[in-house]
Amino acid sequence: MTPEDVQAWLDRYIAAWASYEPEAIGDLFSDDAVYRFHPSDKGFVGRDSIVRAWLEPSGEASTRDEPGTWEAHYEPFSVAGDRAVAVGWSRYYTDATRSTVANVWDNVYLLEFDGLGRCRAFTEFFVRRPDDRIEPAGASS
Amino acid sequence: MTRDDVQRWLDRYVDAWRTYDPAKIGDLFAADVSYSYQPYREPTRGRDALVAEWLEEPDDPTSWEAHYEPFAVDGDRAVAVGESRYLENGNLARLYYNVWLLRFDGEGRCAEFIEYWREHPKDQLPAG
Repeated sequence: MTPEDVQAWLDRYIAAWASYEPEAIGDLFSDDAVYRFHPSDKGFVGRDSIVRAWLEPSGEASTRDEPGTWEAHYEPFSVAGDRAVAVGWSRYYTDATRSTVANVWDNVYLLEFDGLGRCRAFTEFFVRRPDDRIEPAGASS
Repeated sequence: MTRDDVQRWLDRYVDAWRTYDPAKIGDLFAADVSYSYQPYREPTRGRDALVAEWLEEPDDPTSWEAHYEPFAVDGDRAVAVGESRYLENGNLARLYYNVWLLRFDGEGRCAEFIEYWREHPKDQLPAG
């Protein structure tokens, strides 16, 4: 993977999150991928399981993120062989008007890719910014 | 830096933390190091300031265990992952997962350090 490949994958990740289209989500991952929302998780194993976990977090479609209520940006910090580490942020608003920020998270993704550019291991660390570190709505990061 | 270089640096970090030897701590870092304990926190700047901060509230060396290893090494950048365990009466009391974003200078010293960490749920700690 090159840094450009990783950036393209991260941009597709965000697009898949925005659309919740099962194929867009599934295409990101290898058949046997493992996806951890937290480093302490055993993880969801296999593409189908990962797609289900995205579409029905906690087993319910209602806990998905409503379109327009969030924005995110990630980029590669380090790319080495079949591994990459992405950094970025995710900002959530109280509603789709985006007039009020609910919270902002700093993210690190530990990524491993197969030979076909699909992710075979994903582990997320997210750290919430304290309220006094959240810029007003409209800030770029 | 090679993976071995980074692993050696990480092992020296743990040793410096165990011993609180100011020279061992200082030797890890560039003179103008920038060191953040959380991604959103203003970094501590400068080797002297960082050494002084480490020495301020030392952890009892028997109260913790830690191991870190390189996840990715790429030019002057590396990402380390690992676990930090805190013990009470010899039992595991708190477990943290760490990711360190590292940038090294030309002499193998860390010029930038940004830490992300997450705690393992306290009610689901593994035994030891």
